[in-house]
Amino acid sequence: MKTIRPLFAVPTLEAIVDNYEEINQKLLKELDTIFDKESNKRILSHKWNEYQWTKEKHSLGYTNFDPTKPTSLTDNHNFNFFFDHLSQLITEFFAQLDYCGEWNYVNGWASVYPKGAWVPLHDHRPLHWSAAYYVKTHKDCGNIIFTDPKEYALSNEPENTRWRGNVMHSVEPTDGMLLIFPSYLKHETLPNAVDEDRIIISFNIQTTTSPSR
Amino acid sequence: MKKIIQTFPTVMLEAIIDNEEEINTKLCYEIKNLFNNKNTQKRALSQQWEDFVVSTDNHSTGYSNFTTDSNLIKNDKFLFFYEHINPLISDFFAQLDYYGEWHFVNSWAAVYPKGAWVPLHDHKIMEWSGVYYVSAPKDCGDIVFTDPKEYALAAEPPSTRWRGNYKQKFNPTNGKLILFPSYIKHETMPNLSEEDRIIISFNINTGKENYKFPNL
Repeated sequence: MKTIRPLFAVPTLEAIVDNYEEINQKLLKELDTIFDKESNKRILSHKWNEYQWTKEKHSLGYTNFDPTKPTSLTDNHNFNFFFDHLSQLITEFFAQLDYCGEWNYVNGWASVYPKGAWVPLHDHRPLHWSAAYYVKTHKDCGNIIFTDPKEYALSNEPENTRWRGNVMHSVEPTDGMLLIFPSYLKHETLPNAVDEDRIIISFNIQTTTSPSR
Repeated sequence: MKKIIQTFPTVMLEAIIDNEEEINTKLCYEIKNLFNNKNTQKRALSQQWEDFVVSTDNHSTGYSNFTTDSNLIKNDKFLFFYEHINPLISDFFAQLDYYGEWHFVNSWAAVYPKGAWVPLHDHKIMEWSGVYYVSAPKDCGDIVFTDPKEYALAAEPPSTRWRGNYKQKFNPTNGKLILFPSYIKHETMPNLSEEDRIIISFNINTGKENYKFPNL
């Protein structure tokens, strides 16, 4: 008997949503309204942590994410079609992880990343699950990169042990891609290297039923 | 397209070595000689683990030769064992796409009588650690590994435990070898059997044998 056991892995979902072309067309229309010239927009990239707001479509990127105001897309009925469309996929993902209890969207927001814009390393604690959905992407628009969460464990790891798995996990986004991951998982993006915007919708989920194990 | 990707796993080997009965007979003989030698310094285990109580007694809380001046790797009588498990370890590393050099750094034997146990600990700053079961009677104490995502899981509510953040138990049996990254914390349940649990533990580093473990 000889078995290699991959233990304590972090389950993530990578999926292409059904009918994403139609969904994305509708989303782009709704996002035009969300980001109209009167709306407040939070600046991204290296201004991420400064919580600076502008009415401009800022060249560093912009989002409607405002934790102090009720701007969540999950509470905006114009986006119900999108969150309803994803529900079954998310429920199936949880079921494959043997969780068949209740869950709900906590909040959702849209972000636009023009050329050069990027996401600094962060996580979504203390939420349970977080997601990125790609409304508009192009080749080289900026991979999303997840960092190994074994932070203390790997804090003194020499370079010559990286082959056993303690590496970054990089995903190249495409239109209609949905990524779901535990909220504790730190992530960042590379800068958008193309002239077209990368447009995403992010959201958080919490589960509400106690585990069976 | 829809796929669940299990990212950032901690990879471990669980194996029963070839010819375990013959190997264990020889190991039992050598370990008995080692610990019956009135000059062998023995470190007390279980609740005395952290106190580094070292004497020549066979402590009732368990005992090991893990002291600053004892290393089975340097003991010719145990060479057959390390040579025997060498190909298994190289094969494991090759399956992880590592074909470079590696070497045993240090090794020790430990005896856990009824009630003896191992508190939670890790083997940092080593790279890989192993435990081999020379004698493992039924209910002699599972080894339990703790999820290494310590900071990430620090605020996890009970309702998310289903996604995988829990302890992982292995049931010891004669001839079983478990090899794991040294950073992973582990402990054992108390031995509930009347017979001793006897193990050999060791640490491995990759690369050339150029690292000197303190005081060895």
